[in-house]
Parts: sequence; structure tokens; C-alpha cells
Amino acid sequence: MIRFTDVHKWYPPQQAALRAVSLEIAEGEFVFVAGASGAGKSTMLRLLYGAERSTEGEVVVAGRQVSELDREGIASLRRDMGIIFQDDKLLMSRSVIENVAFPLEVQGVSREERFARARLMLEAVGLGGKGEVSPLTLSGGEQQRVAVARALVHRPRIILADEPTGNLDHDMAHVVFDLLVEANQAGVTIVVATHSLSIIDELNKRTIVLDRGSIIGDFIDPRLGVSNTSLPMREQSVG
Amino acid sequence: MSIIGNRISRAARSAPSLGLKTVWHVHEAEQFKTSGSWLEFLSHHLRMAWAQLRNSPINTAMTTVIMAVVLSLSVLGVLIIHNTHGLLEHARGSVGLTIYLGDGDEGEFRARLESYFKADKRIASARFESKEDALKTLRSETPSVSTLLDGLDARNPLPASYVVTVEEADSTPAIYQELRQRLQQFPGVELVQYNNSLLGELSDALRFLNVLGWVAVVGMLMVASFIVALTIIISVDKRREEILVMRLVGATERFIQLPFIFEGVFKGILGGVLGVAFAFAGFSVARRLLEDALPFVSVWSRVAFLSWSLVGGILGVVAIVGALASMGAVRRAISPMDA
Repeated sequence: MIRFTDVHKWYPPQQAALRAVSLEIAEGEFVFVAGASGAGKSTMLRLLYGAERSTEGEVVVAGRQVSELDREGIASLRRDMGIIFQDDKLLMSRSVIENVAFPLEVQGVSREERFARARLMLEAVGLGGKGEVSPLTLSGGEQQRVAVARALVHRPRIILADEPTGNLDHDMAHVVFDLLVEANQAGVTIVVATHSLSIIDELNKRTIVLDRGSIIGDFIDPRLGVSNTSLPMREQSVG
Repeated sequence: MSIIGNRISRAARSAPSLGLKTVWHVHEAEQFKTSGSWLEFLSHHLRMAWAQLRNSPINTAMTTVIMAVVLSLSVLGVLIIHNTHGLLEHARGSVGLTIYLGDGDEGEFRARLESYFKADKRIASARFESKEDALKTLRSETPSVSTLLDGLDARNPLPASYVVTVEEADSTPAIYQELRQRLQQFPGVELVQYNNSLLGELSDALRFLNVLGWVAVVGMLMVASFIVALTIIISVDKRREEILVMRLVGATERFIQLPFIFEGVFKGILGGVLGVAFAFAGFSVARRLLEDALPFVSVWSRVAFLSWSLVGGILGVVAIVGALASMGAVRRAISPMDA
């Protein structure tokens, strides 16, 4: 589903965000990308959804080489994705249900249909009665659940989440991850950039560890320290 | 349900929830379409554009009024072009020799003249206007003083006349002068007038007005397109965040740009309608003032406001100008945006 081949990303003049990154993520996998701030987690995700182009190397997502896609190609790629950010990027001028229905709106789905789907999705994230209110009236956790509902409403093949629980308390973070795991169980590939060790530890999913732009660990079972690659296993503080 | 956080999530969720699998299963079972029709697509973007206008009432009102003022000048230009063309045609049609008949045996005078008109192959037409017709024409051309003319019915001082034109090939000043001298010799002919020099001066003046009209039309349309472009750039900036989110959820450039293009079209049409209204009001007031100030100038009855088809054409043009201006502006404004 996702393949990085010897990917380098440099920002002018000489700042390396990613160095020689190679990895593969299979369809239906749940993967954490962990590392300290500035390790290159967000850059990796931005390369995946086409907000950045690699300086060198190849990024392939769902059979498409991202750096070769034009604007329309990127738009098409993103319609297969759901993207979640730390700041939920909700549109405060629109109601909750309009926010959730937004991906369907840009896909040209009729109003009646997209609202029906969005209503069901709000039920699924536990916000069934809050469709008509403004996101401004919701708590931080509820806003993030709206963002998750928006990312899931069009049944994407891939979910990319960049520190999705960075602004949430522990309990709310679990609610959000609960939804992501559920989506993963339904077959969606999930890539989450996080520096939260506790969540990684609790979920025990494959974890790729970045440090200053390079992969320093790839663990199938982080709790047991089972490595996915030939990289040496080492104790790594990612918080 | 998920493998973690069941206990916490149950407590955190405010209402009984459906599972994702259930929701997606319902979507599939309902056989939702993936996209609406073209008509839905179009009406959606028209609604979006209209909503954009309604969400910024002050911006919309100010833009519409400024556009209306600018476009009224453009409409004035069309008005000048339209009327100068008509006046020039009228002047061309009436050029020729005007033969005024004196008092006496009008029947005999006319018989002699008409037999000459038939014999001279250079003469293309000869239109007779009786004394009564002359008074009627004067009345229709100067409606504001028509009551003053009522007393003339009994003793009409206006002369009967012929307006003579020559074949186009013979339409030279020399031929007209020769004919003038010849016709002047006929019995009963009091005066033969040839107003070619006046026509030349009138043509020059009308041609100048015509150019002025075109300058107003093109210049003001350019100003209008600049105003539309400027307001669209402001509109794009105001919706920057929304555009960013649109891109993140996979909106195509066409999807992002269309509401702005329709917004430009709406602004053009709204400004155009109001501009036509302004121009009509200005035209009516100016005509009344000129008629009052110069009641004996017959030209006012020939100056008309634009026909409905011309107004429709103007609105079509401003809609196209609005679309093109906003197309250029929105492309420039959104292309440097991130994501």
C-alpha cells in the first residue's frame, strides 16, 4: 500500500528532514511513526499526502508515485485518504454535520446523501445529537472526534494521523484511538505519527522510530522489542 | 468494538453509537451513489457562490454599487454608440436637395417638377411633403411646444417641399450643385437647399462621439474586471482555511475555483442590472432637461434608450467579464497556497 524507497527530503539551504528512508506498509496495517520533535514524522506524512515532494527517492501510495502526481492526481489520491491533524482543522463557519460531510461534498455526493452518511458517522463517534451545532460549542475531545468522523465518512483506504491526540487528555486520546483501531479492523490502513509512548505501548502495533530524519527502529511488537528489520534494537526515548 | 479503551470510551461517548463496520455496511446496503449529476454539481456551486455573497453583505453591497457606477458609464458608452449610429443613418438618409415651393398654383408646379424628376436618370427619389405634413412633422419633433403650433392650423406658414436624392454613383457635390442651379430656375420654386457641409460636420461630430462611446465601453469594462478581480482575491483570502481543508479532503481545482467564478458572474450581473438602472435614470433626467432647455431641437425625439435585447447583451457581456476576471484572480490567488 505504501512504499518509501531511499527517500531524502531537504529543506533549503541544507536542512535534512528525511535521510535515506526506505520502508513498506502493507494494506490493512496499523503503523505508528514515532520520534522526538523534528525527527521527520510530519514530513513523512506530508510526503504521503502530497503536500511535499521528496528531494530524492520514490514515495508510492496505493500504486501511485506521489512525486509525479499533478494537482488533480494529488486530489484523487487524497480522496482515498482520511487525514487527521493535531489541530483538528474544522471549519468553524460550518455546523458539525457539514464538517463531517465535507469530503463527500467535494466528491460531488448529493446533499441528502452526504448528510445521511455524515449523520451515521456522527452516531459512530458518539456525537449523534450534535450535528447541527457549531464546532465552537464542542470540547477539544469532541472536536477531534468530529475530525475523525470527517476522515472516515467516505470510507478511505488509508488514514494518516499527525499527532491526533496531542491536544487531548489521556481518556480522550483513548476514545480517538479506539475509533482508529476500529477503522483498522474494518480494513483501513492507518499511519499515525505520535510521540506518545503510552499509546504505542498500550496498542502494541508496528512502530517505526525516526531520529533526525533516519529510521532507527522498526518494531512489529514494541512491547517485546521484536524488530521488523535488520536495524539493531535499542532503547529509544521518543517522548 | 476495538481492543482497547472500551471502558473509557463507553464513558466518554455521549450517546449510544453505531460501530464503523455497521455504518459502512449501511452505506453499502443503501447503495449510495458516489456522485451526483452535472446539474446537481452546477447548482451546488451556484448555491455556494450565492452563499458567499450573502455571507459578506457589506462587501457585496459596496462592490455592487461601485460596479454599478462603473458599468453605468459603460452603458452610457453603448447608448452613445447606439444613438450616434441611428442619427448618422438618419442624417445620411435625409441628405439631398430640399426644394421649397412658393405660393401659387401648387398643382402646376408639382407637375412640372415631377416630370423633370422622371426624365433625369440621376435622380433616385423625390419625396413630396405638403404644408400639412410639414406641420405634422414639426409637431412630432417638438412635442413640448406642440400646443403653440395649434394656432397655425388655419394659416400654415410652412412651405410644401420636395426632398430629392440622387443615385449613389452621382452623389457628388458637383452634381448636387448643378441640380440645385437647374431646379432653382423652375417656376414656383422659392428655395433649393443643399446641406452637404452640415452633414459632413455632423458626421465628424457623431464619429467623435462614437469613438468616445467605445472608449467608455472598453475602459469601464476593464475597470469593472479589475474590481471583480480585486474582490475575488479578498474573498479567496477570507476563505483560505476552507480552501486548505478542501484540498486536504481531495477537492479538485475546478471544485475550489467554480464558486469564485460564479461569484464574479453574480457580481457582474448585479452591477450590470443596477448600472443599467442608473444609466436609464440619468438618461431620462438628461433628456428632460435638454428638451426643456432646447425645445426646438428636433433631435431628442430620435434619441432612444437601449432596447431590451441590447440590455440583455450588455448583461451577458458583464457576466462574461465577471467570469474571466474572477477566473484569472482565483487562479493567481490560490496557486501559492500550501497543501
